[in-house]
Amino acid sequence: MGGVERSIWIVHYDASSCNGCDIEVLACLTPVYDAERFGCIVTGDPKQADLLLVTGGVNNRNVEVLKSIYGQMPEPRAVVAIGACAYSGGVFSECYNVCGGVATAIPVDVYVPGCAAKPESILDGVLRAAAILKERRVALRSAPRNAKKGSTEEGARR
Amino acid sequence: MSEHETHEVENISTNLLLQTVDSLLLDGWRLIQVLALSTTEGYEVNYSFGGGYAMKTLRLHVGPKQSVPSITSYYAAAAYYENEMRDLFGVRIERIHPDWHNDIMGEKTPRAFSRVRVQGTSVERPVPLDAPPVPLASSPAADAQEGAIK
Amino acid sequence: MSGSPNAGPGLTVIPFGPQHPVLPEPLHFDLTLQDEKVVDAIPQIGYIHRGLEMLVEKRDFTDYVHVAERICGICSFMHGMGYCEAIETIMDLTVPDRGRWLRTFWCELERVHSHLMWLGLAADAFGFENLFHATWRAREIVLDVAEETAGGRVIYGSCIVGGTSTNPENETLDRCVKELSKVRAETIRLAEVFIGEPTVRHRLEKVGVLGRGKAYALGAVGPMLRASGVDYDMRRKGYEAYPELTFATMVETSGDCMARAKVRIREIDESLRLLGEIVARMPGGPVAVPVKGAPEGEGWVRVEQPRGEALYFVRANGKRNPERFRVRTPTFANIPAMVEVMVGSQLADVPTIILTIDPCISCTER
Repeated sequence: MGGVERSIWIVHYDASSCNGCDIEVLACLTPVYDAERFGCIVTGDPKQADLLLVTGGVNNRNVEVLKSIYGQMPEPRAVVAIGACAYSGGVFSECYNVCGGVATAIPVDVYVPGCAAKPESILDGVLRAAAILKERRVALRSAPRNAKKGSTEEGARR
Repeated sequence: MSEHETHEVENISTNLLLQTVDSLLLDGWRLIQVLALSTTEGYEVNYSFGGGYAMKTLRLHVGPKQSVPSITSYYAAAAYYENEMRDLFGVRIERIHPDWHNDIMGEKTPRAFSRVRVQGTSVERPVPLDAPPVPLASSPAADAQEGAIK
Repeated sequence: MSGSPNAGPGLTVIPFGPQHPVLPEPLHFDLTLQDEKVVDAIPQIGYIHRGLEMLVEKRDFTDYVHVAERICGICSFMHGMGYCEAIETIMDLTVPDRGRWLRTFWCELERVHSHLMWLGLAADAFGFENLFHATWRAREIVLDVAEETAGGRVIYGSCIVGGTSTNPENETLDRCVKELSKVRAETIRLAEVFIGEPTVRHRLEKVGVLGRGKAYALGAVGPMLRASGVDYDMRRKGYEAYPELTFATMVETSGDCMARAKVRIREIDESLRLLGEIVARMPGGPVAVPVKGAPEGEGWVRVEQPRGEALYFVRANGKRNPERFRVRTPTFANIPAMVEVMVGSQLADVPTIILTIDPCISCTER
């Protein structure tokens, strides 16, 4: 099965985003940008997802939700933070209820720039994350069975 | 713009609030919004009502420890505004129904507006980002008071 | 949680959200159920609360437009415009004619994009994925027009205090109208499916009925109110170029989910017609006036957004940073009515009901 690319199952979570990036994420899935041509499919269930797309910064209430979604995802997994808010809080970084970017709660692999991020760059971010996922899958497979947990770079960072 | 022509602001005292709201309800006005501001003396609470395209605002000035009667028995939709106002500003509101007990925004959301302005300016007492949530001074007392009324 | 509903005998409390497949945004409900029937619904917000109303104290009043636009990415232009209008009322600024007409153009463009987006999401909510994709394909044309005229697909960034920051050429606008006529043809085709298809009608008709009196008394706004038979549209009050335009207000009387869908579908068509008229009558001249000094006083502005009436309040004290900014968004006003409709409905209909008020949680929580 070495030559076969796996399809990526995506779960999307909106942490205090303004909706601008969210609707662009949705636009990626519709016919004009069509992320499904890369084998991506959006699922509502984090337990079946490989890739977590997060839009918006983290606030005091949703930080636990975000951590729990991330925690439910099986290894190997990757996180794409979309937009300026997901990087640093963006335009809202000085608001009293915004703690900062997604990296304050969970490890991030790919940042997508823009406010709002454009669908082209979101697709690019997803594909970069797909490459990271592939590396992790290989690493997981070659790691000794009993040391599997925490063996990936991402696991070490947590 | 016709905005000013159709909008009147009326300053009233707290004890006349329910009476005035009752008469507005009978005249067919509906609630547009409730808005709180922090001022030098405490809070200013604005209730806006709409009838057709006209708007009327009742303005209350309340001290930081003074409580405001809830208008939810007249306008059910006011519960959302009053709960939010109590959560964010710490305005004491008596007998909100339904009362979500400081939970509509979640426990961890800072009560950032809950402060008294110093000399009407806005930047003298900023809330730092890493500060712990401002404890809502009025909530246990208000709840206890409510329990006593029941 | 102290505010949890009392689950009595035979009652079950199920949490709905915050991360739910139907909703692109986190909204949480505690639904109390008796078998499959909803007997109580308690909304929980705060998942996207940022506290941007307070940010006005740290920003210059001309810069805050960028924050106001990001109250919500769907009706971003109108949020920016509402804030600008409030400042303009305080400072007695008169926006030049072309600026006013351009703003009206973008307002209507946003209404088309928002309603088409809603149509797709609603179709997705009851599992009609084809319709979702077809609607969003048509919507891309609208976004291309926005990008060409304003500079952004979802966040336009074209509204500033005193007018607009971009001034598209008349030829560009004419070309855009040609593009938009394709959307109109596509919408008519989609509307046939949406209104005529038996599977869609089964999911929408007689579901979530909101009576006229209840809708008015609970403060519902926008398509939610108009679908229950109340003829109420803030655009009639006249702001920007609306006093010089004639347009129809779409009213339905049945008050169910289908009525809300019909109101929005008919509004798309009317807005597209209006866009053609606006471009044909677009005046020339400057688009903005220079802003001098700082605002002092208070301004109240109400505008009609795709989701209904929004209210903006700004109080300024003569400094560069205003003292207080408040926005009452249409979804906030619609939540009491939505909860009223949900109580008594079937659990399976809850996603459809939530979707037909077209919730914008980002607006609601600010």
